[in-house]
Amino acid sequence: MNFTVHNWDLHVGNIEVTAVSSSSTLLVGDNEKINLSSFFDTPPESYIVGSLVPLSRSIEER
Amino acid sequence: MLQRSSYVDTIYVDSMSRSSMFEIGDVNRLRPRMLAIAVQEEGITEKGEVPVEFADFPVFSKQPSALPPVPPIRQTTIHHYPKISVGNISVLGIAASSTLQIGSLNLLDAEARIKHIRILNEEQNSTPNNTL
Repeated sequence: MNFTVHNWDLHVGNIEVTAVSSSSTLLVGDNEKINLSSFFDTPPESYIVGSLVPLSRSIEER
Repeated sequence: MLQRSSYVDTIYVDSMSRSSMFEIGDVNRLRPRMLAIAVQEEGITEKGEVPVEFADFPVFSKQPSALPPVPPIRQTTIHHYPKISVGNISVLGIAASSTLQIGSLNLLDAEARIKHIRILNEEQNSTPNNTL
């Protein structure tokens, strides 16, 4: 298979990123090959959604 | 292949950690690796030692699944304009085998492995529990 790439003008104004994390990349330039891998082992407790903040006032405060 | 040059006016990076890279210039090959065991203990008030080793957990020794085979491709790249220009870049954080690069990069092979451990006092009316 033949594959031809034409790179014309490339102008970017602003890039704003909060975080580049866990084997990721922000690249301004040309690249041949990228291989990114990330392994996570997280216990299921992390996914139990609950209120961490007491939502009702205690009796003393009323 | 004739490489293009990258032009950036301003860059702001707040913080970097754990095998991360901020590079200005061309790179042939980059291979960052990061292994982490993150322990969260409920109700702990000071930093403590947790007797754990990377060898204790299979997540640090598992091989990544192989990518499907690539058909033979003959690539031709024609650069009609020798510049890549960016105005401003603002990044709050770069962490865990990550890269921010201004310039060309031939081969990037990054890997991050993270094991989370939660040590809980009690979990839904049960006895003390260590969730390895």
